[in-house]
Amino acid sequence: MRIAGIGVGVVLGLACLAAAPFRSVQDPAKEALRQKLKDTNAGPGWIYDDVAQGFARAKLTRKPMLIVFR
Amino acid sequence: MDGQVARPDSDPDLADLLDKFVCVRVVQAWGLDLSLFQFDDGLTWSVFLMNADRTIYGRYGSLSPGKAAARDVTLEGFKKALQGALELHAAYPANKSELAGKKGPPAAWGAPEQIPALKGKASARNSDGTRASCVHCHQVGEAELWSRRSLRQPIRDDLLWRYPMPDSIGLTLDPVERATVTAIRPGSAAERAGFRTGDRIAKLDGQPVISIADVQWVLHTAKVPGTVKAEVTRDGRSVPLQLSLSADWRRGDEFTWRASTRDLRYQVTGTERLEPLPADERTRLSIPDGKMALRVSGIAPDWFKARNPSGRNLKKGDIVLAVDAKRDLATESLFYSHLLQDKAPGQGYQLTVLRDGKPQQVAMTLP
Repeated sequence: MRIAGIGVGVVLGLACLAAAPFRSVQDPAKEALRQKLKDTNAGPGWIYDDVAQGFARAKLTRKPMLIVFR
Repeated sequence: MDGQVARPDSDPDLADLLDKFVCVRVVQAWGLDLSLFQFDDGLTWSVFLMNADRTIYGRYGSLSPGKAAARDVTLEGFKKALQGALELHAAYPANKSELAGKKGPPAAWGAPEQIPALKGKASARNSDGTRASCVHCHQVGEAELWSRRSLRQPIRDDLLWRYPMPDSIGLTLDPVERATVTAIRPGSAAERAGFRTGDRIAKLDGQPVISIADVQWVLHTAKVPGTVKAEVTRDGRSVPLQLSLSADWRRGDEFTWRASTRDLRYQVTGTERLEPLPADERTRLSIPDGKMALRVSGIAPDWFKARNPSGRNLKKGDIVLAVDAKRDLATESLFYSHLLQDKAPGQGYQLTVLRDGKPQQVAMTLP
């Protein structure tokens, strides 16, 4: 039961990561960077200035990555 | 283009395509893996399309000098590049071997923090603990160049004439239709290779091509002198071609149109752009075709004076006719490449200039 509970927890956690909105909105350092640069083109659904998170999400979702250098 | 891609609300097709990708926006270069992400750092907008395992499907983003710049990047062309990347992703990993060439050799410095000219700047902090400065992609390229100079490393042609546009080999490509030839310059390497108008470049150097930037990548990394194999689609058939590149093929083009050259001018000659004299003025001054005649359009700002050993030896309006009696450096690119490639840091040289109509010698020193 305990092992099954842990398994369910892992599945739910992974599902949350895959479905997680644009973490950088909640990341104070990235939001500070966005404001410093006056970057108004930080669209919803985009990962902001965090390539590592991009790779992690792409691995999880099996989607290809699109990385804009601006 | 940046805004349209970041917020594709008015383009459902683009929105639908972007939804098939994990989209990442990078706005500063600290911590960037320079071995993995090799691209034209002179661009203000550049895209990598890749797999989570770091295999690169393609690049997008190109820039021609001056007014031609607007023709290189289009939303329709971008969407076709995305479609191309999705096709490559669907076929992956069966196509892994032909994608290997899209990743370059290990970079001289693995991350911007390691480049000597940038060391210390990454760790500088404001009083509130935030990083004191960002580093942008073009600053990485500039720092690499000056670090190589400081270390007395050779400055190769590919470090100056970076990411050549297809025009440099005589090809004009459609910015909408994925690397499709719209024009070929007579007498060019492309004409000699057998390219024809309407050809779509399917592969170059064995790599699938989904954009003009992919063609630039192959040209940037091509071994010279040498041959680059091409596969074009012509009238529904696959046609193999061979493109021959001479050792100095890049030198027929210019690189000084790039914004990053401003820093180079300020440091090396303490000037703004050196502009070629117009034909009528050359005739009036009896300067033969092919000989050097570059006018100093302006002088670097005061704050740069301390960084340039020659100070303000040159004046606005001077016409540079020779470097140490060498008169065949007819373009600004050849002039600066000569100074960076053939002379050492701290070395002196003489410029022959026409100043107020009178020839005189100006002593200069390289940084």
